[in-house]
Amino acid sequence: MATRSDSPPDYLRGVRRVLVTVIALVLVVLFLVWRIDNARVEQLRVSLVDRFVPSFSWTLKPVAETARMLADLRAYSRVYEQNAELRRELQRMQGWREAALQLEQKNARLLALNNVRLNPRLTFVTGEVMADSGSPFRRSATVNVGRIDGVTDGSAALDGSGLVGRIAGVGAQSSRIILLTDASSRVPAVVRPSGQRAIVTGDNTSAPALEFLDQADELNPGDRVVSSGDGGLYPPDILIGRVAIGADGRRRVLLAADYRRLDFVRVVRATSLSAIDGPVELIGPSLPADAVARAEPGE
Amino acid sequence: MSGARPLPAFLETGLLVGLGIVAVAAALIPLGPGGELAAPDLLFCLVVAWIVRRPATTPLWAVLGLGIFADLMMSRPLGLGALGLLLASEWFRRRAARFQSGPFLLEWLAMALAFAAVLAAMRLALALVFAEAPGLSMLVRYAVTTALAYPLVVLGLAWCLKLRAGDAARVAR
Repeated sequence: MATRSDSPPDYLRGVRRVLVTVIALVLVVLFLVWRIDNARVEQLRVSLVDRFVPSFSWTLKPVAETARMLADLRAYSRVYEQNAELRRELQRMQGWREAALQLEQKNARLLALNNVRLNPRLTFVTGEVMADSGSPFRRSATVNVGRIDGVTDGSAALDGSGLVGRIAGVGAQSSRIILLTDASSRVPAVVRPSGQRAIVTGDNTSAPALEFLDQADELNPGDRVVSSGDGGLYPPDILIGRVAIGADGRRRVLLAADYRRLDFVRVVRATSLSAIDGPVELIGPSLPADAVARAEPGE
Repeated sequence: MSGARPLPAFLETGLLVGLGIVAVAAALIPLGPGGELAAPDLLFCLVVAWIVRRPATTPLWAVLGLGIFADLMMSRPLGLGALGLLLASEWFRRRAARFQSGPFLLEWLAMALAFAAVLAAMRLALALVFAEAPGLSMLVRYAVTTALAYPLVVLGLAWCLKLRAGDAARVAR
């Protein structure tokens, strides 16, 4: 290589090479630390995002909105066909609406008949999506609700029509949602008409796979997939999507949540379902404390 | 055109760091978070374009800092993305003079291949430590969009900041 007048002398180049090598080794060590002590590093990441992203959201949001408007603008070209299509769909929907109303009334009657107490602890807090992961290594989104809003690690996140993901990493005023499409996402689910249990497994494609199925042949495309609530992380009976058969023959889930327009996300605030610790307290009415004390020495 | 006075070196470095932060923030814009689209790695484009044109005002610490910052913000494996950026930028730094005098097409090709190599190495490293790696099709799409973004970044730098190939040589003369 020709020596140029502005290039550093040879001994400096040697020093520089050593410096680059040392920094590279430090970065490798950093990578290994990330791999070994993931939780602490992710906490650092969340605290940085928590500090940085809310102060930038005023720039991120308008750009995203503009892009979305441009995408909508493109749809105007076929507005007539869309209109006709919507009219047809509306007619069909009116039939469904009638059916839904009847079912709702029937459901209310049956609930009253059984004296069911629905879980009152399922409350939501709604947040706005501020940022996405920014690289293909994770499928995640950052929302502007955090610890001060009562969000905890592991809470489920939904949009208007279905499950979106779960919270992994909570900052003071922001938190990160790992989407169902992420490779580390697993949701225990039930396929509705057949009642089969499965795990919805994210694999970085837009349609997660259904795994651990008993009889995959019995599933029909279009069957509803809802969360089963097993494991206690996700509340039961939340719509995840519909069954579809992928090009590779695997059963997949077409997600109900609209990831392209992920604007507002509801985060379930407390999922801690009361666990049954032992059989003792369940049998018989609970006695007052002094009655218990009097009964015990007599035995 | 020699009418424009060159900025002081520390200001140019500061400008690079500022643009780098903007590039990371741009990657975070939520345009369909779970979708199949891969937003280009603008930071990689920026650093490579800058180091080819101004190797003297692209210090090691700036590349390192931007790399680690991007790793943390863009939820990449910590350290790995910074390492890829650092090694690629050092490779380009040593060949900056050759790329400045050569045609842009060559530089573009080299950048695209370097980014693809970095992604392949990252995937290999993730596989070595049994971490989850993104799918191959996703990475291919990522490499393609980043390669397509590179001429735009170079054009933007040349147009807005008058940062052109050969400037450094002229300044040095």
